[in-house]
Amino acid sequence: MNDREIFPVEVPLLTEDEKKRAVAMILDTAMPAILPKSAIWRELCRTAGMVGLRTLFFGVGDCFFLAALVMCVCLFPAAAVMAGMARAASCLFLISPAFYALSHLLTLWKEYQTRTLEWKWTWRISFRTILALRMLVLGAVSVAGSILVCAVLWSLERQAVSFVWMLSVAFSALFLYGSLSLLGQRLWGMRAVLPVPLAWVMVSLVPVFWEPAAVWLMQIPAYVFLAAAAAGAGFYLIQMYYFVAAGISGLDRRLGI
Amino acid sequence: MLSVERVTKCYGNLTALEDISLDLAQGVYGLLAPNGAGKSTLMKMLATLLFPTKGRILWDGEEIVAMGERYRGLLGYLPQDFGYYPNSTPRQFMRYAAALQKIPRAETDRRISRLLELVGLSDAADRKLKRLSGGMLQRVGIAVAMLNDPRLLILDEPTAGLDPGERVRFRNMIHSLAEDRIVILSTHIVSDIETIAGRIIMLRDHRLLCCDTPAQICGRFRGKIFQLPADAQIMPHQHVLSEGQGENGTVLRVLSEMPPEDGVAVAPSLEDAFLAIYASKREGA
Ligand SMILES: Nc1ncnc2c1ncn2[C@@H]1O[C@H](COP(=O)(O)OP(=O)(O)OP(=O)(O)O)[C@@H](O)[C@H]1O
Ligand SMILES: [Mg+2]
Repeated sequence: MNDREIFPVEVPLLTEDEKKRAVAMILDTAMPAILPKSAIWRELCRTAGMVGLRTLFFGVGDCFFLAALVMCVCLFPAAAVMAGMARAASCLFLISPAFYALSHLLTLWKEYQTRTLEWKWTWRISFRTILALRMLVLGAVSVAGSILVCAVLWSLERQAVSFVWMLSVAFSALFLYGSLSLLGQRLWGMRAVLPVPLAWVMVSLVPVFWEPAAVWLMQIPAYVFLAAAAAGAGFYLIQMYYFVAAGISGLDRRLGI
Repeated sequence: MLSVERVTKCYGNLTALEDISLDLAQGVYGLLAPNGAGKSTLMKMLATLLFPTKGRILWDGEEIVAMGERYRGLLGYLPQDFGYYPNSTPRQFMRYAAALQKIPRAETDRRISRLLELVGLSDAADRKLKRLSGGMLQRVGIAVAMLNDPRLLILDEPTAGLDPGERVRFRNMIHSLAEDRIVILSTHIVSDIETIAGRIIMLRDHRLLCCDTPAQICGRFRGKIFQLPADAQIMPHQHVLSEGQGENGTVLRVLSEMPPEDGVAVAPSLEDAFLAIYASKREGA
């Protein structure tokens, strides 16, 4: 005997309209998609124009300097040595998102160290919008940097592999890393800040130190990497949209950033 | 304007605030409670830095979290323990804050100069923040919180570290600001809010004890506060609130339901009321 037979009362079912509203409410909570997509990108552009680069990177300029220094002094020479051994392609996965990841980590660390976040969270422009703009600028710098690094490594490898192939590896690594780290931050907030780059380093070191993996990597054609890069870039922009939308609508503090 | 509706805040197992309901309209509200009572917790919830575990906070009937940027635009907040970029100057830091508060560029410099003058820092405007004293930094903080001319100004212990002259200046400033906005400030220093707070919010045992005018709070202890010489015998039903220097040596201020022998009835001050309200708790502890 079910409940209905025990309690033969007419239970009003949800109307179609009520059902729709309930579903929309649940979806809104799960994905804070309150603003239309175009509004977010317009807001990002407007904010970028309003604050300018100086404000965007106010107080954290030294972090970029440090990240660039690490790139130039440690990572790039290491890659050049590998290039001498015709293994440069193996470390592209590690090196191309390195500047992006390092400067992002260092700036977040500095924001925590200086204890300015409580203020930034209550200021009108959401801190997430600022973070997103910083990420976009860093991404652009990293794309340009990757092209440069690929060109140098390619010439050091005496053009053993094709330049387009190297570039596609670098871009796929950069965009995949970017979207994974953004997804992590969006879902788990500060808890994802360290695990994602650490996991990335672990995975990237495999082909560097394990010959079969390096050989397998070399056999993957460029168009696969290019497809991965395109998918990564698309995913990155979608994540960026949710990341910023949650900030503007004020729901961001639930996520810790 | 701002209403707190049955708000509870828990940190894991610890209930920091329980079932707080408040309605705040224009004026100065002093949040007066001992250490750890939950003042900062309440203020952080009002600043949308923390979310109530239960209950909700509304601005003109709208949930503040859902208002997002619109709410942040009308809010000015001074954290209790704020950070800064030590190598920047007050003016640079305020320009930065102004940009992130979306204050029009044309207006920024004028507003910064006016605020720096208001907090008495015009001379130090271009010195590095790391070279300023604690009290000066606190004043920079107050100026930053007021940058966007907020309709709701929340200051968590704004007078910590200020010298007496600056305290008076701060009180005057808040007094003049409060005509058309809500100012909420927390402190343990009774004299800071005695004269400027229209209403005093007190918390005890994680709950709201009262939200009354200073006169109402003092009125509850009228005829119960007495001054006694230091060597007087204290009965079990009497509580010594404080010790002070009278004309003829040390005197005690005592809370007592009945007039003690050789006790002189005195007008209760807000400090007496504060000490009396939290006396039982301290003795119990
Ligand atoms: N992030 C946190 N996690 C766990 N407990 C916390 C946290 N923040 C505050 N508490 C606890 O909540 C209670 C209220 O803290 P709160 O900082 O609000 O007090 P307060 O009245 O501002 O004190 P003070 O006068 O010292 O500034 C305290 O018991 C404190 O230990
Ligand atoms: Mg506090």
